[in-house]
Amino acid sequence: MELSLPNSIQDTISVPTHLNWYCWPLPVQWPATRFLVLEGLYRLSNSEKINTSVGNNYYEKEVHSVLGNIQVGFDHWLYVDFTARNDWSSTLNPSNWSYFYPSISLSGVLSDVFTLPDFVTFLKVRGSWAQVGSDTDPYQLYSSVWLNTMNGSTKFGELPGTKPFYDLQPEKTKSWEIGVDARFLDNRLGVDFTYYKANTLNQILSLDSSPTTGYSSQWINAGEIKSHGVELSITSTPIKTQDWQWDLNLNWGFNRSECVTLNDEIKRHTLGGFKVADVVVDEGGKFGDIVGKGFLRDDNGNILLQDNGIPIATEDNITLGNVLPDWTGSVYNMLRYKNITFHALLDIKKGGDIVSITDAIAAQNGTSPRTLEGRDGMVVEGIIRSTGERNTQSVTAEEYWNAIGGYNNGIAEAFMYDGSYIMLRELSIGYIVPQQYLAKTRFVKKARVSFVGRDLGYLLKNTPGTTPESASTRQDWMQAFDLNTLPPTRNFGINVNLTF
Amino acid sequence: MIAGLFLSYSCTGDFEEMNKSQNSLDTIEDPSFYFPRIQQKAIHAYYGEYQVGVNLYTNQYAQYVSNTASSWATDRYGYQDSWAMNGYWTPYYMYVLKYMLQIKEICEDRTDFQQMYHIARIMTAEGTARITDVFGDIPYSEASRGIDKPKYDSQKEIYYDILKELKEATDALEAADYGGVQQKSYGSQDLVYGGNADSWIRLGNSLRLRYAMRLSYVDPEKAKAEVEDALSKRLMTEVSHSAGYKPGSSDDSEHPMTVICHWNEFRLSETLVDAYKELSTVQDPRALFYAGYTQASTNDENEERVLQGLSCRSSH
Repeated sequence: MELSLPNSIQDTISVPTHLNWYCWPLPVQWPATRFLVLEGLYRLSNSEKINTSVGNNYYEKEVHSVLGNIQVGFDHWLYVDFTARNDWSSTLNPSNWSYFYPSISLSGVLSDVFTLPDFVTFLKVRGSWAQVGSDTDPYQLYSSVWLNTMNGSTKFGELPGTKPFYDLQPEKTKSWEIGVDARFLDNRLGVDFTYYKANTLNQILSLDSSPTTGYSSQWINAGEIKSHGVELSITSTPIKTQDWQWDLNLNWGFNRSECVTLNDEIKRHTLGGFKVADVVVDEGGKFGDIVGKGFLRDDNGNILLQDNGIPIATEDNITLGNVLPDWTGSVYNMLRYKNITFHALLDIKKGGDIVSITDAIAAQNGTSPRTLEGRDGMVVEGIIRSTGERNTQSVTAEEYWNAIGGYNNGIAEAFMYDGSYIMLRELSIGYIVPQQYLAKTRFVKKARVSFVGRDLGYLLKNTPGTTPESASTRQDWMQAFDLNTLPPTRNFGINVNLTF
Repeated sequence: MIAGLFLSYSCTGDFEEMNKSQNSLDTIEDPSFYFPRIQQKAIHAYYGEYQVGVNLYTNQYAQYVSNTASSWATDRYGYQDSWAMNGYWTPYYMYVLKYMLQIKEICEDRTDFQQMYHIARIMTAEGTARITDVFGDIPYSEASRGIDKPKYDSQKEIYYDILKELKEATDALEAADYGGVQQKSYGSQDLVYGGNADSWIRLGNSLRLRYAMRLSYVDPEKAKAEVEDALSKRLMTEVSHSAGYKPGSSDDSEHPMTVICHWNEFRLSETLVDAYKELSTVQDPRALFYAGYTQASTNDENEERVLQGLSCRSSH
């Protein structure tokens, strides 16, 4: 193999300037007023005659970017891509508002260069390294006073509850990845593998702070968060004849994230939570630990009880699990006989703990099947803390679950579930309309009709009567909670695919 | 590309101005915009902190009310961290002390704001006394100033500072020596007295008397000195001097009891009723208001209507 001079260089340099201008006026219910309480503040909240809390908001930020991109190809098999970008953001202070981030990626189609054994149809390797920067929302640097109304008509100045941070640095994420795309046996088998590693520095986070500082939260640049993972995709066509075809595709991946350092002062960042449990990131810990109250135990692991036979909750929150799954995957099958196709998609998740607050509330109200046992009396296994003796005190199920369950004070440990599942995501049967019928119409080149069913059911799950995918929002931390969401629905429909 | 860089860089000229919010001001140079919030938060007039700080927490510890909801343990002297935070720490540090420091900063250079400054000191002293009475040693001299982990001051230092503040403020208001400069008044922004300095003097002295009396056993010399001084000044002597403010009708200004009573999570405590009826040697005229009977009550001892909404007595 020889490396000759590059015979194709594409050089593109572009210099666009992006102006992002956000303006969100809220709906106005009252007419504008001539009576301003304070000079210089042209906002509805500043009007004397309005006696309820209305306001309008305005956000403005500007980001200027300069970016360039060069792609160089060697001998049609090796490609190198460079990009460079510099942003200037109005949301950061003058010494920090410019940030630069480059990237470089390399890919080579080895099967075009080397003579590989016959069964290897295609082999491509790729690698890349990138640095990405990110700014923040406007108005975080300076302290300012909002005008607000209390008691219906009394105006007052509201000081910020978040400590402004003048030296906010832009976030920086450095990542690299390598991958292989290989196909064998005339494309009957394909393997696509990627490994990636990313490091986020100076992540802009809002951390809770003690009100004694005068602020309930403050912005910081958090130290360092590392993550790495794998994505693997296997495509195969085990059977391919004139009349039959069977495609089998497997996807699998995992991601591990951990926090290396947070901040000198603060060692835990709460991502979100409810009264019984929170999802946090601890310095030195894994991303997404679930913390909540547990059963107070002695050194041998026995549950400690009050004199009345009810378990005691731990004073502080303990780590009960982690929201992130061990791995996720999917299995896709496509079977075709002549013109009839059949598809099936399975979604799989292993790991990822869930706190079922639905179960906690149901237990406290006595509507959960768990509460059937012991309605006339039960003895909780454990040790009475004050005496050290084995418990013989009987309690009713109602007393027990009233103390353990509930939205406010429940012991989250009792309601932890493994969020693993295998879900039949989609099933469909279709019919490819043969060409002879299509030839009669002059426009339609291809047509396919299918019956589709989606979200059909769980072949395996551990959550009690609720779905393990019941998070109400898409945020990471929300995946750890199951709170009174409606059951998911199955969908059935007809798909018509036409190509003109 | 170089030209592009130049273009972009020069356009950052108005970045700093742009990043200052148009929805708010850098600062408001008028203490009357900070004062009403201090008043509301210092006396737990808002139902949020009233419920978790006073009604369900300290009132249950003192057995004024008893618990009818099973989910919390404060009637068994349990500790609730989030209530301590939301009921006491957040309102005091994020509002009372923080806004007071803001007022102090604004008034420092303004000769026409001095009266407002002294009035604010009296109101803040009452808020400080409330929180230190519950917690003892608390952060004070370094608190609410943006310092991480402010140090704890001893309750003695805090009480001495409260008494000092009250003395200085009432003396300054009494002397009314402002170098001939017309003083701006709070007016309707003062929810309690409408800016009337005379009433504030009386309140300030009466508070000083009350707090000094609390030191009678633990620091008798200081107590004696302060009490004697306070008694020599004008005190609250008539009903018209009472401090309080009229509840409004909007959510955040209603009397907190109106909001929380119908949640039905507490009752009048038997301890308090016994104290009124059996243990006390003096008829407390407030007893009828706090512990009456509803018309629907089947108890035939008394037929007075309840005026406050607390319906029946129960054991704790």
